[in-house]
Amino acid sequence: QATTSQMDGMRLSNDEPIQIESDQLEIKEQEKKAYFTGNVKVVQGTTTMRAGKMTVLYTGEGASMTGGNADIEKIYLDNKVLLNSGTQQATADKGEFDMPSQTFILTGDQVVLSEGPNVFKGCKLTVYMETGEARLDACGGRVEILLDPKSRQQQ
Amino acid sequence: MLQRMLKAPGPASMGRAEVDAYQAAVAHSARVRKLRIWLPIGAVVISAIFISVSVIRAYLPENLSVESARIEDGKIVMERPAIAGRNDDGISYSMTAVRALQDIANPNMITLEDVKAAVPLNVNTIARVVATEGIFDRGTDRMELTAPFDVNLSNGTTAKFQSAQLDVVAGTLNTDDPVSIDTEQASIVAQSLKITDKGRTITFAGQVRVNIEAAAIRNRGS
Repeated sequence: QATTSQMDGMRLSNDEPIQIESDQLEIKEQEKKAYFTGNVKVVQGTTTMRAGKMTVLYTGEGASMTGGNADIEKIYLDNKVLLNSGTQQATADKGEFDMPSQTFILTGDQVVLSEGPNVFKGCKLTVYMETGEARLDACGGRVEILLDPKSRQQQ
Repeated sequence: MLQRMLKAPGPASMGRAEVDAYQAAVAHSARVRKLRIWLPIGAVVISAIFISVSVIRAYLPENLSVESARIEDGKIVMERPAIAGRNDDGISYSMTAVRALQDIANPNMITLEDVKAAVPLNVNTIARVVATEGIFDRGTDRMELTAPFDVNLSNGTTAKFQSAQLDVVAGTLNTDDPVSIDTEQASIVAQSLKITDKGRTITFAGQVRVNIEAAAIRNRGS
């Protein structure tokens, strides 16, 4: 049983650059992989994402990260993922960006999505980046929803 | 015994012809005796020359050409030295400088001024280095770049360094000082950089900042 909500911040805005910060970056040109390790922080527009480690897979014939003609295919996030987007925040153990399908999936024993005062808990959060729609799955268990009474009056 | 006889006109009983033949034989054997000494010596001398030439050839890289050279206070000063060769993959590398100073006491260390080097990082990437000063160790084919310099990769990437150690033949480059790399779609800044495995592994460390232009995402997004 799932709950959906809107994460506009996660809609992949194509007109804003991405800044990535980390302690180390290792680029393996042959494997077409870039490993960001240590306090990884990714910022695009109003969305900020933090993780312990981020692995970027890129494609493109002869593509090279330093050559600049690399197309990002997939991004894997590990060691605690924290996503901040506007009033919404999500925490999980792992994250995965799949660029071709434009989906961003957060997984973990406990994926917590909070919107303002409301908190939703599940084990998988799927964000469709084209629309910004977010789906939190309980995978068998029950999605825990803690609605802040005050917020209910506002709706 | 023969020498003594040589002077003598020949035994009294021999006729004129015999005497001539006899003296010719004596002269021949003298010549043979001389040759038996000089031939081996000649052989030794020739092979010595040959060995020394190849030794010098080995030490003095055959690919080092110099416009002019002079000795100035204990240093050989070479004008416009140029060195070229091939690295392990057979890709040619080259390095030229306006001036090179070679310490006579330690001939392997060469200080180069206004260096231009073309170092093959891998099959399809050549790094062109332009530096004001570098110390080239001929023994290890390694260059220590002590002053800020730029590297332009043939794939359009430009890199700015404060200093670096460059291994011309193995195609590795590393620095412990800040570095910034710019490509059309991204820029990377870090406190240190190591390029190893012939340019296939590039490791930045220390406050790494990467900026990816929106354009890089747009073609992915549409």
